[in-house]
Amino acid sequence: MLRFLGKRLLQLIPTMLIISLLIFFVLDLMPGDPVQAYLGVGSEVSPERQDQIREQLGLNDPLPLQYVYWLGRVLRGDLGRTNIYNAEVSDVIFGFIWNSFLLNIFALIFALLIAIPVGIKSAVKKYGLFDNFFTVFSLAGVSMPTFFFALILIFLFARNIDWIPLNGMRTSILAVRGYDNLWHNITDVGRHMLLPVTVLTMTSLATLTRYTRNSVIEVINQDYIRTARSKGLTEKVVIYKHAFRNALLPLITILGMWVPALFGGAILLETVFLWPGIGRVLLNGITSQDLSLVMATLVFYAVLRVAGNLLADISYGLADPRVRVK
Amino acid sequence: MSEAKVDETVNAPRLKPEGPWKIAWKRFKKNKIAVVGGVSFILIVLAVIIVPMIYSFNLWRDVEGVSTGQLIRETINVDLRAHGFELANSEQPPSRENLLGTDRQGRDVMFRLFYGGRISMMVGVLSAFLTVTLGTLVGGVAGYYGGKIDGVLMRFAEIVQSIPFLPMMMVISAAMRWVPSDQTMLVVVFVVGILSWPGLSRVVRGQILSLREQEFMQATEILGISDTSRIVRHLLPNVLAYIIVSATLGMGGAILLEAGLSFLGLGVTPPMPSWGNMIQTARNSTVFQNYPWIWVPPGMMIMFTVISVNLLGEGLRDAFDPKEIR
Amino acid sequence: MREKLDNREPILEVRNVKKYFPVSAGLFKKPFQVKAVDDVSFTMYKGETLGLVGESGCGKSTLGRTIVRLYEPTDGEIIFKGNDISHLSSHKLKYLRQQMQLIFQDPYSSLNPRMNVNSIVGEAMLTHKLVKKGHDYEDKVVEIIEKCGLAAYHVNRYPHQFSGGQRQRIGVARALALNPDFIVADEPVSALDVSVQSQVLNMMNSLKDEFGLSYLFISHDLSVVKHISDRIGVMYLGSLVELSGKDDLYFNPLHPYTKALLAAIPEPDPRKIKKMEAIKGEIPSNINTPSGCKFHTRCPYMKDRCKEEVPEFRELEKDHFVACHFAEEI
Repeated sequence: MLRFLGKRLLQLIPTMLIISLLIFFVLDLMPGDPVQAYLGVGSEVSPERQDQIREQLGLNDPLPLQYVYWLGRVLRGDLGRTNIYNAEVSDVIFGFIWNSFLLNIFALIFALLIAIPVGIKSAVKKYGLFDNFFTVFSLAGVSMPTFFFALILIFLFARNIDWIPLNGMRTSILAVRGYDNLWHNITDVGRHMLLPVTVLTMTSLATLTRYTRNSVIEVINQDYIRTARSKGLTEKVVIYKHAFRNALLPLITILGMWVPALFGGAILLETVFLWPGIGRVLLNGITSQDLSLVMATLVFYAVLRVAGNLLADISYGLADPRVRVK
Repeated sequence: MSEAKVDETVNAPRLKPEGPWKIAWKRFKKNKIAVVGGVSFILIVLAVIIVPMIYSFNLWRDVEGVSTGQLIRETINVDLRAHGFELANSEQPPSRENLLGTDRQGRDVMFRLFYGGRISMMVGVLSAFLTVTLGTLVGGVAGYYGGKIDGVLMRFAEIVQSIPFLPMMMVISAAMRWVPSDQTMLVVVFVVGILSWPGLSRVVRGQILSLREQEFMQATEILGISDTSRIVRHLLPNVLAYIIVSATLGMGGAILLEAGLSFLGLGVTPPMPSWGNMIQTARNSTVFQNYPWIWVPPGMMIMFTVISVNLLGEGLRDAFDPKEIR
Repeated sequence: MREKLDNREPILEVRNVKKYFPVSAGLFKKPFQVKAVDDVSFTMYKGETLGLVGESGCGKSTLGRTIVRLYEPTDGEIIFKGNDISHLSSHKLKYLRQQMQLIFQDPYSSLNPRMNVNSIVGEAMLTHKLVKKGHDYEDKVVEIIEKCGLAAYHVNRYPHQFSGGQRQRIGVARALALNPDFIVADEPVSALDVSVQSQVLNMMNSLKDEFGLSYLFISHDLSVVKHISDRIGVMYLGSLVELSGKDDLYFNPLHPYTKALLAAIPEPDPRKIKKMEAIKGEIPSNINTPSGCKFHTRCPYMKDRCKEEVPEFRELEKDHFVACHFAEEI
């Protein structure tokens, strides 16, 4: 097993290298003058000074060389400096990912809490009213653009209820002034989380209910369940003791894949809700042409994705030993 | 003449030859929901083609002395700019003249909705086409030739699959900002297509690998059938079902992606309308709060279209390969 | 039968053919060899049906496929009609394909589900330019399938519209389409119901007479082989252990394995009381084959020499070959 793990980890290295290369070269195509970005927009500087800065930033070096320097810096943890936030990029990233994480983790928990019982009930009473309803629900959930759903939700809540805020993570005045106590802090953020988490939960629900349902159906059709039933066990025991455990297994596999994704922001949602997460950081970076920020964020997303794939492979390897023999 | 006789009762002459395609078609027809999906998809396509033409036709006031042929030609060449920029007429709610009202530039929303529909759906179709081409090519070659080629190609697919979807698409689109508005849809098609193919290539490769070992493929080898014939006449038709399903479902995904990208400002850019960038107008709070007729209809259209496409795709999948679990 | 054997013309000569398959054992270990076919030699004559029997894994299917060059032999020669075809390139093989064909075992996977009978049977004819597209094509196809017991109106149907027995007939028709001289039939009736089996076997026999074919008939079922073969070869773990005329084999089996196989056939006549003897032990693995005579681990007559020396496949009596050190004494 360890050998399998080691092999997969080794394969990661060329993958990440190639992806980082790709990112670097794509970003080179992005419009925007790094010198201007460095100095800040609108500053007036003499051409000589501009050339000086160009040299200083290493922009006159050949592209492959720039890549190597950049890679070296990244590996050392120096992700550069961003201008729109006026801070070190690494600070920005690691600061904001927790906001994204907050949304994602709650959405995932709620989605699981709902999806598992719904999935089981749908599977047990296949094609019944309950099942059909959730089938339609899943279909709608998967077909609807999430940001549109978010907009509609905001629109509906805009006039009605005062204590459900429509965007942002905190009430601005309170954020500046400071909170009275921790509880106040938590409730403020909590209220702001209501809408975005709802949308995120619904989206995840659509796929999770379907997945659980199919997984349970597959287990129920197995012969050993029939055996359990013919032994005279009640349906409840059959389902919860036998079927449930085995149906959970593929679910856990999928969840393993999702763990790294928890740190990535849902870019579209964060934009709609003006939520200060890493997704919005990326978008801001792109629109402001802040190259170092964009590069670092992209690499971050790539790492998350690769980690997710690796975890998926590992969980498949754990579940099915034949895979490891390769 | 052989001594062994044919069992007449099993195969009376009136039994008609029924190929697997025909069988699948019959199965599809039985699935009412899938048929609904298919029909509504066709209706949407027709609407998106015809409605802008109706507008173009109505706008033609001076019919005197113009031949029918020219009338038809003018109708088909829908001129995007023919509507709007009558600022006096801007921001009007739905009325008899403008069925869905006008937007901030005075343009008729209904017209833009359906003209934009053309764009969004074309993006969907073309991306699906690109994805299918790339995926089939890579998967097919990998599966058929095996060995080193297979290894290299699959590693390549793995790397592409490790690239974070939306972030990368955003950056590439941003890098291509210099593209004029009416060609931005091609950028979206390109970007969605080149990142979506690994999934299909894996499926195609798997299918070809399992087919290759089937005895009828060995038979073609013994019969001396050429390589090209084997691939085109024997392997491909058996993989086609998967390709069709994947293309259909992929179209839905592409439409959603285009919507998301355009919403962020990184997909199809105005003045060329698309469902995504019409929703983008909602980012302006005035529009969002006061002129919902501008941004809600495109969202609904996306939903209907993607639902139809998904129903159609799932129906096709069930028709080609019926399984217990739906 | 004896008279036929005397003035006979060899059509196929298999000389010391080996077919090994490498199996990887891990990242850093050398791959093992599965010795599917391990030094087999025999000659086949024009117009005969040579039955090849043995249990699963004995290599008969692999041998059959190697002979038609679906695989390339690891060692040894295959001489077909006087030409050494063992290592011909695929380009040169194409001409050969017309003359030797294979009938497959599984009626369900050996036909392309998306092609109708017309295409399945006729495709090869087009490839080898025996016909041109058009009426000529379909007429020829109908001609062949009728000879195989199907009807003309079957020609546009698809495989799933036929029963297993009929599908096998289609498979036979496909093999016949190129008008070959030699056909390897790899367990052609094993997947069929017993009542259908005899129909297909009878069809194959009459086809053989009509077209002057030679069959290499592979099967694990001794009773089937008895029905259709002129001579029979017995294989064990990749090697040929006995080869003789049909009657000779049944009345005078020389190899211990053959004797055991024959003893294991249930006797339907209740008046003939037969002592059923099970063969001791299990079939050894194909990877670590036993040394010397491969059967020595299960042979009741085993002596020391059997463990060390591989027995020679020798003609002990007229047209009766055995691979056993002590065949004379047993």
